[in-house]
Amino acid sequence: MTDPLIKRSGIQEEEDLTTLKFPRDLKDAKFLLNSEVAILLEHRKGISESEGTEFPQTFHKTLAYAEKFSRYKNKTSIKQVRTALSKQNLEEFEIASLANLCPEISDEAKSLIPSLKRMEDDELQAILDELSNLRKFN
Amino acid sequence: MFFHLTLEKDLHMHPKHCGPNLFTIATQQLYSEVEGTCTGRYGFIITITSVDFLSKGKVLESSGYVVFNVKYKAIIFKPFKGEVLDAIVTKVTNLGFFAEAGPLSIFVSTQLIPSDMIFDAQSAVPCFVSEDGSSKISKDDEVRLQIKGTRVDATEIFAIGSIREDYLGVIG
Repeated sequence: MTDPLIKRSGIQEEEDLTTLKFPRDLKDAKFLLNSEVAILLEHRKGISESEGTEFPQTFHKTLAYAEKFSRYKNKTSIKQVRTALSKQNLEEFEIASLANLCPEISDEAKSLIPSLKRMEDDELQAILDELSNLRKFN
Repeated sequence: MFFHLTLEKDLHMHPKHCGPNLFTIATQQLYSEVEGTCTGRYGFIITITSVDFLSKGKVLESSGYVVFNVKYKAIIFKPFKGEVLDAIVTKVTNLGFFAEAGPLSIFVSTQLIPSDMIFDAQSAVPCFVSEDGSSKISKDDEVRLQIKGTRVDATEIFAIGSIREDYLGVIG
């Protein structure tokens, strides 16, 4: 009757992206860019395919998705994006969202990622320009 | 959104596996038990990246099974309410369209599609077209949508999306 899991899920708090509040279960989560997921899964597939492992369908679907929406194709450019964004006053979730969605102008970024409303337009625009430059040169 | 998280699990090993390859087999068993599953609490567990055996095995006297407490890191996908993400349209009907973002299926109903876009029943492929014909949503198109809500049960997550907000819709 009183399964602790059921009890916990009953009181599990909801996430709120405008204030970047996540459920407690996910407080140690490290958010990833689609590009990073693509590289990690590709790597895993490379090791295990030689052993003839079968992957579940979700694995293939996710790999296809991550590759399709991967904005940065190699490790160096991902690293550059990470360093550029982590210098700013941004949360992990915002870094991953910005790098995945690549908004062009600050108004668009604020509309897509509501927690960015706390920033000044000029400041945000400078970050977006830096991102789009990184995309061009890689 | 994808993230990396450390999770724990009690792994039950059949006694026939006890021997020199125990940990290799146990790791394989963990992979096959966990990868590809979905829980409402965490989301879709896509793949395991590292495994750590925490405790020594404990033998259950009733069955002979050996239990290990395992900590593993996994790549997980979970949709958050209010999150904006890109997805691929899989099916268009007169009630709305279905899209997929990796393992997640998302439904966008006509209520949450801009009102100037209407379902075109005459065309060869079912699609939504805007009044001026400038934008069109049909199968295999890429759309940017916002997650409005999720329905979570023990083994499945299903999401409702919207393209009614600014800067959402077909990516072109």
